Amino acid sequence: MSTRRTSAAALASVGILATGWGIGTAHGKTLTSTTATGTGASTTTAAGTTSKTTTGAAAGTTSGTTSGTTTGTTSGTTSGSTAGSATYVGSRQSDRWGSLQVTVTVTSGKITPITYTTTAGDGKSLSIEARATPTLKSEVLAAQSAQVSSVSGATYTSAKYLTSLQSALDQIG
Amino acid sequence: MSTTYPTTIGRPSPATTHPTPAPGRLAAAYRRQGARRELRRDLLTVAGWSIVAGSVALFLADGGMTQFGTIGDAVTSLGIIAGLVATALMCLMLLLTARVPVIDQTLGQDRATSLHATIGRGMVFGLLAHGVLLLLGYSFTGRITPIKTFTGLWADSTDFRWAVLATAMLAVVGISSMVAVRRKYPYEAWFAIHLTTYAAIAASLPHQFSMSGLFAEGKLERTFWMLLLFATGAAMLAFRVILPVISTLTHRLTVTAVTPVGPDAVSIEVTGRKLDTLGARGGQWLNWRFLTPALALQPHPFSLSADPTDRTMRITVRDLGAGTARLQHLKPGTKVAVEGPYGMFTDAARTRDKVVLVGAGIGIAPIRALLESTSFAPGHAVVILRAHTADELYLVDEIRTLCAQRGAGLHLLVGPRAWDSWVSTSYAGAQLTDFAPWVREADVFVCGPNAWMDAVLANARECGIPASQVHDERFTW
Amino acid sequence: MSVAEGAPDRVRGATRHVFTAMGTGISLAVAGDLPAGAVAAVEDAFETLDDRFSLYKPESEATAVARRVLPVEQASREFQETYALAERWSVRTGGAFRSHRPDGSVDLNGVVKALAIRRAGEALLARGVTDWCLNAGGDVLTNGAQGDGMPWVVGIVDPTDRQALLTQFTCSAAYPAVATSGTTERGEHVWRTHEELPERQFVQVTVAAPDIVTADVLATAILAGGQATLERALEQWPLHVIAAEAGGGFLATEAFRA
Repeated sequence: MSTRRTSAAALASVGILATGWGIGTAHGKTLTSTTATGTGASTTTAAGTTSKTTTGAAAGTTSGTTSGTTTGTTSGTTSGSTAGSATYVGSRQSDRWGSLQVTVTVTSGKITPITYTTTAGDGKSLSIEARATPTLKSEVLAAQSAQVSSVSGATYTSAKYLTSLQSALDQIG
Repeated sequence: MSTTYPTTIGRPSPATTHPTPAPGRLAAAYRRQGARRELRRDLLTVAGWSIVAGSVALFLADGGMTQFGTIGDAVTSLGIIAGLVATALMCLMLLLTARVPVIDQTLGQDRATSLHATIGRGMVFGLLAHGVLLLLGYSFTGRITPIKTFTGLWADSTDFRWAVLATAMLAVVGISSMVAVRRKYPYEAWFAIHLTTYAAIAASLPHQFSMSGLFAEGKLERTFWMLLLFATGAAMLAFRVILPVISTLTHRLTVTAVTPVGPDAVSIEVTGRKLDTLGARGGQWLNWRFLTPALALQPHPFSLSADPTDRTMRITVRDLGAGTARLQHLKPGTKVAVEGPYGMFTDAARTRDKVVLVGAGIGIAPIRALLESTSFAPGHAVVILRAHTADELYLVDEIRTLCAQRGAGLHLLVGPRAWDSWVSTSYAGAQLTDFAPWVREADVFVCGPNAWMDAVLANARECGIPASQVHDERFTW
Repeated sequence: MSVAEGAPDRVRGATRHVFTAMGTGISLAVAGDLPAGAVAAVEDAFETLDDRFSLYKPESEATAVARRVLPVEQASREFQETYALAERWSVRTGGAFRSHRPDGSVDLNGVVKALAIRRAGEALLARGVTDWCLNAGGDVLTNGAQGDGMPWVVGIVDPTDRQALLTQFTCSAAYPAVATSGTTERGEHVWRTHEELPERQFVQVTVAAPDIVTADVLATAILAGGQATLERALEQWPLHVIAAEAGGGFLATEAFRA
């Protein structure tokens, strides 16, 4: 291999890779696309499409080529203190399909997580239930209607809402 | 130009007939030719590397650079990059065996084929890395074992199953092509296994659509990969299938004479139409298929042993095994199908006005053709032939006559080999410079058995001959 | 057990605001005062998303995309981001959650309502409203606690008797979101991806998660994907789940067991 050839090939390759890198890291794509203020939901949603969706039984798992998904761990920062509350933007974790970030607002000592990481910061506040076991109806935890403040059921239309349990609750309130 | 031997029908082929320029002009013309070829080599090399770099760069530009935050992500991204590189390399490999004329005229098809094999190792390694890294990356991120990742993917995706099959097939192809393995079974078996590459490529396509961003709509990657794959496929179809078929039908080659030249070799003369459009030069080789039931499935790469004319071509074939043994008894009138011509063991590879031609065994055949078709001023060419016995000096009478007519020196190195060198014991210790003191300013063409050629090339390096001036042709498959 | 009985004083402590959006009833219960601007912001969160994503509005962007007159690549950035989010969830759930209908047209309903709930919740927090319970068509997101400091408790409808409660879930800071997906209201709107015995198929799935989009998507995915998806989801996210089988049995995590 002549020196000329080697350096030409090396220059071309490096130049092309650098251009790709530059484009990829431009437009702040390394950071979250969140709103800057503290309580913004910080789940990034990627711009651009991933591969075409497979329909039918063979739903494949896509490799992580979604664009614009954020980088991994940025360390936590505190920002946006309004009166009596502080917002802690926790570390961002990337998983195979994207990333989520914890933004926690501390108000009067109470922590209110808004969004959640696949792997939580300290891992202890969230427990992972590994098992759903077969349960008879009689073994299901009974509802104490006195305590219930809202009702979750399959989505109901406006008409059906009016006759729903939730509607009953709302009327009492 | 000189007369051709033996006497043939037809005029010398215009492809190789050219008036000998004055010595000064010859040097300049050959230097320019050499420079142009070097430039082509540079461009092809840059193009090849750029394609590989481009495939990674597109991934990076698409946000791939943001995917290295955690171990799982980083490993996954490396796995993706490995897959991209492997795919790009695969396209380059296919282009190298597609017998694309510009590649042949720059690298020489034999070099291209050996580069194909070298890249092939890289590609198989890249594929395995792709699979392993992705499995590991997914496992890290999903916090499950690699085995579970694999079984999960296997259960969920038929595309994935095909991709795994494709990897296995390509691994088999790779292993079967390893030199140590290849020697153990016949060429036909190796070729059949190699053909499964196409099936493997087809099997790997579905997962590239559904599990990667290669063909995502509206992306530059899609254009890039479609172009690359299309160009590769088109080149293979055009130059390996369509062109040879057209050649065969156009030229209608038939064996017209089979003449013994020595106890174990024959010269086969083949006649056809419009061979000037075939454009073969002395020193080139073609893939010859003699269309008899026994031989039709065996393509043989043989070099021309004389300058072709517009009606005839000649090869000289030595009995070296089962296939060539049958050719010794070939019947005139046999139809012939050809692929080619290929090779840069020709006047087109010249870079200097002086030349040294070195041949051994049946490698003497293309040397003989080159002697007839390349240009030099008297005193500026030397021919060196090596043989264990005088019987092995194929076509030596023709060579002697040509040397005398054209003013080329001739040296015959006959007898047992001096240890591992390239010369006979009677010339023990001789170097190329001893035969041609100006060899550093000459082109050196070498053709013969591989081990012997290696010795000649080693000596050429010792003599300080620049590599760009040394030309060899090899026929390992 | 009917809710009309019981202690209305608990419920009476909250200010409630009810409105209709996205074709369903939205109920906002706030402990304490509910500033007027906050209500408008919550309603706006739903309206703006509905304008863009409703398939029942002929001039919406989603309708244009579903009809394929507008390619996704030329749609608005918000649409593309939502589409990408749905795609990601489709991948994470192995295809059990779908961003397309069987005919191939784009359908983002599965995420849009939850996104609206999330956005509404952010709007409330931004205005200093920290103790609330927002219910949009059966998907619930909570924050803080009720007026007396007790946590928000969400009842789960019994799939066999929609006027009764099957069970309840106590929300917490870690699990503020509850979503239920079922076939009993709108009929079979979920396309099943896995073969299962008829009596083992789920007719209703409730998921409690740290985030409303997660809860909503996974409830839908598990309903469609069956037990395999349920197990996978439990391995990858911290959740509480109760799934009702057609045959009358349940698969439940500990929180829903007595």
